[in-house]
Amino acid sequence: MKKTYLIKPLFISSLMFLVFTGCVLKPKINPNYKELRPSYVLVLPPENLTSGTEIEETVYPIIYEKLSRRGYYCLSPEVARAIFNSNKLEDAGRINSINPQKFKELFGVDAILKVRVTEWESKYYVIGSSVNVGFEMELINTADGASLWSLKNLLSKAPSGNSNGILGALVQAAVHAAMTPYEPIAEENAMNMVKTVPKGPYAKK
Amino acid sequence: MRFLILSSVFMGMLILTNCSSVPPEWRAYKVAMKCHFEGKNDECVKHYEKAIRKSKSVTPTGLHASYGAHLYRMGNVVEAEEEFKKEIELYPQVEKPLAIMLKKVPLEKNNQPEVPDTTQQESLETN
Repeated sequence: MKKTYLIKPLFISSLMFLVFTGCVLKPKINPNYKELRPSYVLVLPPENLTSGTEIEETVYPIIYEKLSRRGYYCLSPEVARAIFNSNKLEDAGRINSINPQKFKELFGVDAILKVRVTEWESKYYVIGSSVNVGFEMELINTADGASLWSLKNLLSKAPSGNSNGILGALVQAAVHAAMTPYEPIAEENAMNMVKTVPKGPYAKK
Repeated sequence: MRFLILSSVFMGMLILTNCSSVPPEWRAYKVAMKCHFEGKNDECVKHYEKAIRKSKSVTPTGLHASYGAHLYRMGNVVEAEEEFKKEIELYPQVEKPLAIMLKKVPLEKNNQPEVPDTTQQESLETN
């Protein structure tokens, strides 16, 4: 009898947890966002602040896809990269430090999206591990350099599984961390973050 | 029992809506982009073409520009221009950067090394 009394509250609380964990991100949104109505955006090559390699190749298409599907026309990363490279601007850090108004003059874009990869690593604990992917993003108005939207978020995924004994758990933690691909975690983090950008004019009605 | 079943169905729906899947045309487009950035050439063409084939009613924004940029890198200028035209027809705002690309970006395969436009570089980096 006691057990049946417990099931309902447990279910409801887990349901509430599930709902609210998807809604905790709090971006900074410019109060004049709706009046400024950016529609044409240049996603700058992501700046890698970690020791990970080949991150741009993975992260750039992900962020571009998420923002485009949010309803913005984003300049093709292949086109943007080709123009930057022909100007000897291979380093994403240098590109990100350029005055936003220059992008308006050159590409005619309403806004730029700056992306910084702050974490891209596996962390080991005594008997566990986690894979962390962190991003900082900022949408900037190219007309005056004002911030339109910004958000930081770290997504940490701990591989699940049970093992017998401490040694088994240690081995399992190391194997799981080594085998866990970063891409789906980066996808999820980018999706959660970009979902908080107000919908653009090309969004499906 | 009924409550448990209903709750499970609701939770399942919630998870599915939270993890909304990427449409197939965008999935192929992303693979093509990654392929391009990894410096592969011929292999990427099939992914761009798959993305175009999979686009039924709406072509992903930027897809023709991206494919054009890839063809341009491979030295297929005529085909690249065709793709750029398709993109401009759909999204005229992209005309300016595509014109810059055709004018300023040197071709890789044609052995026609062009001196990079240093004035452009200065204008980009002047704050």
